[in-house]
Amino acid sequence: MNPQRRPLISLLYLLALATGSNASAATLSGFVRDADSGEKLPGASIAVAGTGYGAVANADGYFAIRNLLPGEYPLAITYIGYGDFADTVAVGKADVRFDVTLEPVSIRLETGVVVTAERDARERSAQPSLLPLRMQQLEQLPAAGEADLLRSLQLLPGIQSASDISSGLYVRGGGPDQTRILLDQIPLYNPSHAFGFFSTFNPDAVRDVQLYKGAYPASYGGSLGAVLNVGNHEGNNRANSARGGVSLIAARLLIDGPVGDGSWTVSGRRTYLDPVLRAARASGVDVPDYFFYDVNAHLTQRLSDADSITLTGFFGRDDLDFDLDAETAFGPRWGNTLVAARWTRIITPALVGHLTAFSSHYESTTAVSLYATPWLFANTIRDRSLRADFDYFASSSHSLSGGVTMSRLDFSFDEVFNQRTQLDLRQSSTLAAAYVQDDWQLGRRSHLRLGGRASYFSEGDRLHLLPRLSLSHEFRPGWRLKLGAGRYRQYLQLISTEGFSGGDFWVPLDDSVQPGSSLQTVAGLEWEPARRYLVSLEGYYTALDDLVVLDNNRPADAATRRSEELFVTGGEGRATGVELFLQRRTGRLTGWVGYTLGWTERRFAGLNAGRSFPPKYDRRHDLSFVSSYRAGTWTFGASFIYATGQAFTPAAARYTLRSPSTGVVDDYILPGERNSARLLPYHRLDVGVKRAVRLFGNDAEFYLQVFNLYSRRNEWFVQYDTDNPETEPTVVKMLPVIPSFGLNFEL
Amino acid sequence: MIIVPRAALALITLLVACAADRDPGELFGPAEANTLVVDARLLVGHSLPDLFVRRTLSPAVLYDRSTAAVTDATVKLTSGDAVFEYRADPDSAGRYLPPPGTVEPVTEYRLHVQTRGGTVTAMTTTPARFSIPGAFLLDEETLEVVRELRRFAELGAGVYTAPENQVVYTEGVLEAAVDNFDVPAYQVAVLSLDLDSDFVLEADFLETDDYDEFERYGSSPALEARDGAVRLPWFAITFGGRHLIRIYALDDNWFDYLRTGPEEAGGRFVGGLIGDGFERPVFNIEGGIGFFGSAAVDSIGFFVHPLTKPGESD
Repeated sequence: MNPQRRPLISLLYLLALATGSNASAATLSGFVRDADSGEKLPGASIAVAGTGYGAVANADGYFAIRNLLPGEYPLAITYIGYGDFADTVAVGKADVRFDVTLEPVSIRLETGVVVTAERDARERSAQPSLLPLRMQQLEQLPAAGEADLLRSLQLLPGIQSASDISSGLYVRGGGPDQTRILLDQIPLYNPSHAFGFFSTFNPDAVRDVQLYKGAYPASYGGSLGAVLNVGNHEGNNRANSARGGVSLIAARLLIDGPVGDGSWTVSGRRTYLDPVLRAARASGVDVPDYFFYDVNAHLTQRLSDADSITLTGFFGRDDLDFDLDAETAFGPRWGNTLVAARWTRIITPALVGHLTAFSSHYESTTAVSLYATPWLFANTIRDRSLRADFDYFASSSHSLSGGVTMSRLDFSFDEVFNQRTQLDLRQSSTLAAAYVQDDWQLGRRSHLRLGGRASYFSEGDRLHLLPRLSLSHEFRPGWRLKLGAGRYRQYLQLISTEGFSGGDFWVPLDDSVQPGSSLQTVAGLEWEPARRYLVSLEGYYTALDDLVVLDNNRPADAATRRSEELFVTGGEGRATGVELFLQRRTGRLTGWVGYTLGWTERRFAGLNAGRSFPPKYDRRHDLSFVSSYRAGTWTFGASFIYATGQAFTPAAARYTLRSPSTGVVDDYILPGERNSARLLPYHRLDVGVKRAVRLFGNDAEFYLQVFNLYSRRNEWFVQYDTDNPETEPTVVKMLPVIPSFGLNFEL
Repeated sequence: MIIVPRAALALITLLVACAADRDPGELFGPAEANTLVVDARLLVGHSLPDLFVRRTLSPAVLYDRSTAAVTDATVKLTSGDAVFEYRADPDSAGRYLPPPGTVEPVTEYRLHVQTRGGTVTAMTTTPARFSIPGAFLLDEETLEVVRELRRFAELGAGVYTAPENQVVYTEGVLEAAVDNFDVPAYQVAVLSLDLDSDFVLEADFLETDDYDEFERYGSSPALEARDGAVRLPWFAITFGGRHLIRIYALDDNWFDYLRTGPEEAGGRFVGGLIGDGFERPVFNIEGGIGFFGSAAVDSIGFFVHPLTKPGESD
């Protein structure tokens, strides 16, 4: 068979499945929402008792059960963290709309239990390498200054950080650009504040997180490794409310409430270090002027029983100004602007359509003046896209989804040194993608997800067909075997530093360079002996091709206009490993133990004499303990990490040469094999304590946290002083102990 | 219950102990000591250069040039049928002196070094002769030419006193034209000739000790100069007085060493994602490491005056 035709045949097969229906039967459909806030509850499980019929609510909390003959049916709806719903529904010859609200269980107050509610229990059971998490769960973890989403994720198995001040996610041996980060399904190109010390995600605004660590489904694309989707709160459509917090670094506030037939929410966060820094400068200390802020806004309106719209906005900025004197200054600024409008229509009870238009804009500018010599780096990305998706509840055993996305990507990347343009990359590209996916429930115990994605990139007229597959089988109660595989492509490349993130630069790959590709395979075993516990063992293997890395050896003034001039190309790589995850999800004591045994390597013909080498973030062992214990109004949290030291290039010899241009004799260090040595193992213990109180008649919470309790000065990188042969190498250390405290409140 | 705090205390004590520093010597990889290091630079139109032969030392020991010197090498430079036999300099260990001869343009030279420790070979093809067609002071806003600097070919050492060649620190932009487009890149070297001249650089954030760190010489990374000009950044100038600017038109070896060498590699503002830029240079030496490259060179000269600040008089 012609391989190009296989996806088409698969699509026809899926459509054929979808069209099967009983003409005399009706469809039962509706929304499942939170009774307190009216927010949708995606992933709720709906079962028609005694029939084998059932459904899982989609991302809008919508469900549909087809082919119900006239009669009365007992309906049961369950969702972790909410009280069960049970009622009888009468179904006639006509379709039935049945909206349901579930009462949240005040578990925290009544029993002192923190529920790690899984909104995506079904998704997790179907998909390997998926971590669905609620922000409430991550907020329990001790942090440095501010609770932070991405830094919390770095505590999970298979996910690493580059340093204490990096929020970049290194997932299963991939660099931070190999994880696509989405905010409400919209790409966010730089998720960092303060050079990566914090992420752009305001913890108040975030509702939940889905992290696909590998073999992600066909509905996503654009990265070689992983996908992180951060879902923001829709807002409370029952009553006005507010919550926020103050820490040593920043203040934040979220307000929301009902409006029309829907809800709105606005949240903001800003640092207030400026006056402190200003006072320090006034006293003669050379410190920069710095602040960051971010604003999230969300509006949801129901236009009719079948139509609703959602407007989303995000605006974040970092601004650093370091004027050392009139002729020497350093001023990086960066930020994201994101706006999106989404229209959801229930076309038929079993078919839901979504139309989304969005613009995601990232801008980074670094202006340097070095003794009156100006130097400017500027990077912009504007992603304007139109996306149409559908969910089709074909039958109790088949759910189809699919969609198309058209994106216009405008990039620019300039480097101007001494008023001369040295880098001038400009590109306007079209990226089109289409996907289709069938969730096939094979009896009660097995789930097959078949999908395919086609992507077209205008640079080089590249068309790629990318199959995706996942299979799960519950071979005995509580035991599940999971398999997943997929092929992936990435058309954009991040240029960043390894030690920290921040004013990163994104550049597209033009037709002079092949876009990177990966083939991922995952196999896992999962055991849920009870709702409280989860044990997961997962192995992965990823093969990477056509990798690129910035060519640091090109001439300084090379007027680069092509990708092949900017990058070392043709790299290969592989990442393989095993992850163990033991989680206690409910009870006074919650938390997890995670362990990863991994290997990662890269090979470029033009690097390390063509020999393969481990990237800096290759870690053989990565162990984490995370726990939270609640006793009355007190909550105690602790997290401990142990990881193999990062790879670095050691010194192999000392030698002397004259500078060819000046004739001055200099002493040098000869580098050894690339990344062939290891820094000392990384370990760190963070602890925190919180106390819930009533403050002016409202719920509030004081917290005290200690980052790096025993002040382990973990190694960051090694510096060799080549100017002085008598100098021993220096190891630059990461952060010492940092205590912090603050207050969270609800109004 | 008392066991729990004790266990926690013991754990923390253990972990704090783990936070201790380690011996920096552990940061060295397997030593590549005793690798032969050659060092020779050929300049078109100049005499054959002297040449050094040394060996690498272990990174864990203090570098000592006399220990590193190789004194028993047989050193030959060949070009076609011509053979130039070098002899060891009795006054400088590891240095080898050339016979009379001049480096010719667009000519292949081969180096052959034989020692008891091994053989090193290398080859360079010299660039064509090169001269700077013109040097200019540009307006820093409009980049229009304010005036053209006088050249050595016109005035010899008189360039330093020529009115056109008097520049004020940070006023305008200095630019030199280049015209040898057959070379892979250029390098610019800046030399402050008046060793007792004062600083023209004044930075509020620099302490007195910081000024001791500034050298009277410096050089640029590899520059393509595709548009036929190189610009001199003001941060390359620190002192007042006479300055000599040498512009080298490079051969492939010099270019490779420069772009990958210890002064430049990893020094860019943006780094890569797979390494820290600490990478072995491209030496283009068989059997050892070092430098064996060639260039054509021309120079310009000017005099740097300090910037007169508002309220100050000359």
